[in-house]
Amino acid sequence: MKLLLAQSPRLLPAAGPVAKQETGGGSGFAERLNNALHDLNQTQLKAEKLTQDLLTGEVQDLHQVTIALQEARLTMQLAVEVRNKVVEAYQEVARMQV
Amino acid sequence: MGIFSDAAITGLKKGLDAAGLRHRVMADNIANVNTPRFKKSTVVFESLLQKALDEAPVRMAVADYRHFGGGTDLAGVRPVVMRSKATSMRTDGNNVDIDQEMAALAVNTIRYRALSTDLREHYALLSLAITGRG
Amino acid sequence: MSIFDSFAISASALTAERLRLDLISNNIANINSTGRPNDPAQEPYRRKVPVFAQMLKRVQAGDGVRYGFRGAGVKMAAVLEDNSPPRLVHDPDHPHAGERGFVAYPDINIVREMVDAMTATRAYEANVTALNAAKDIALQALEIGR
Repeated sequence: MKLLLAQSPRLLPAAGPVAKQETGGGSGFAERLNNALHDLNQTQLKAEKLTQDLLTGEVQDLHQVTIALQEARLTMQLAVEVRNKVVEAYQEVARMQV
Repeated sequence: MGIFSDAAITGLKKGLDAAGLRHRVMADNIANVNTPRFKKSTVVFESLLQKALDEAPVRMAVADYRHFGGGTDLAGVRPVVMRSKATSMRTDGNNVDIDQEMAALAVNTIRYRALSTDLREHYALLSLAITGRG
Repeated sequence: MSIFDSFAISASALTAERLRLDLISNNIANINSTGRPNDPAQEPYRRKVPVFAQMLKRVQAGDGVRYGFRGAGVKMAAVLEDNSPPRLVHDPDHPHAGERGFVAYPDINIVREMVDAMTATRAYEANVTALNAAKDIALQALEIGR
């Protein structure tokens, strides 16, 4: 099992949980993006915590660790794919001849 | 996270928790097969899960938080450990039936295998859906 | 609680049953360890009897004793000596013969010891199976992420 944390780029620092920021006008996309990033950070933190628990012998069942790692990886994949699509869309728009 | 909260994945995760607990309980029963006056324990889960799934569509609005809302929340189903007070034919007061425990152990191990394989497949499908490449 | 609890539980039983077998072997080996009757200085061998007890996890504050299960296997809590009176055998020429020509033999029945040995062996095998099942489960859990 490859260590998820070693192979994936970290979008957010490990300093701690990200606070949900309230965007003033509730602009749909920005708020949803913020929530999605918050959730992504939560999955990464959970995976990190469970890995640490495994090392200190605190973990209840081994499958909880592997599940958390797998879900963190899938969430990260989703975020990366979304980012790729957004960048692609931007580049296409930027290429348009005015 | 939204993509992991469907009934199948939640049910599989809980099933794995229950099977892990059940193994621990049975290991303790088997370890104490020769301990005088020991009473075995069992894990109740699958029937609780079935009950929750059957009742899931029925949810009633409540006027007060102390009223029952009807139905059981799938996420709230937990395995329960019960100690069996049944008597046995043994003279030492121990009610562990070793043959029954060994058979149940085999069933539980296979169930764990099935659940973990199933969960792996679900994650593989999600990965395929996300990346288009599996 | 750690994932290795299942292993610890089964291992505790392997240790306990093996110790029981040791006691049984000792009893059988000493079946002819005689003594002089009514002589506290020269007692015959006394049969050793194991006492098994359940081990329970201590519940500490903030401890994750999940689902209220505290079982932690088994241990040999004590080894007692059988206090039944020794078997007296009439043999005046024996070095241990008492004033009426009786020799005190340990009250050990070899058939009973063999039955106990079989019980211990079967329990040992059952716990080995449980240990292997725990290993199977752990390896399966690791496969989830593959």
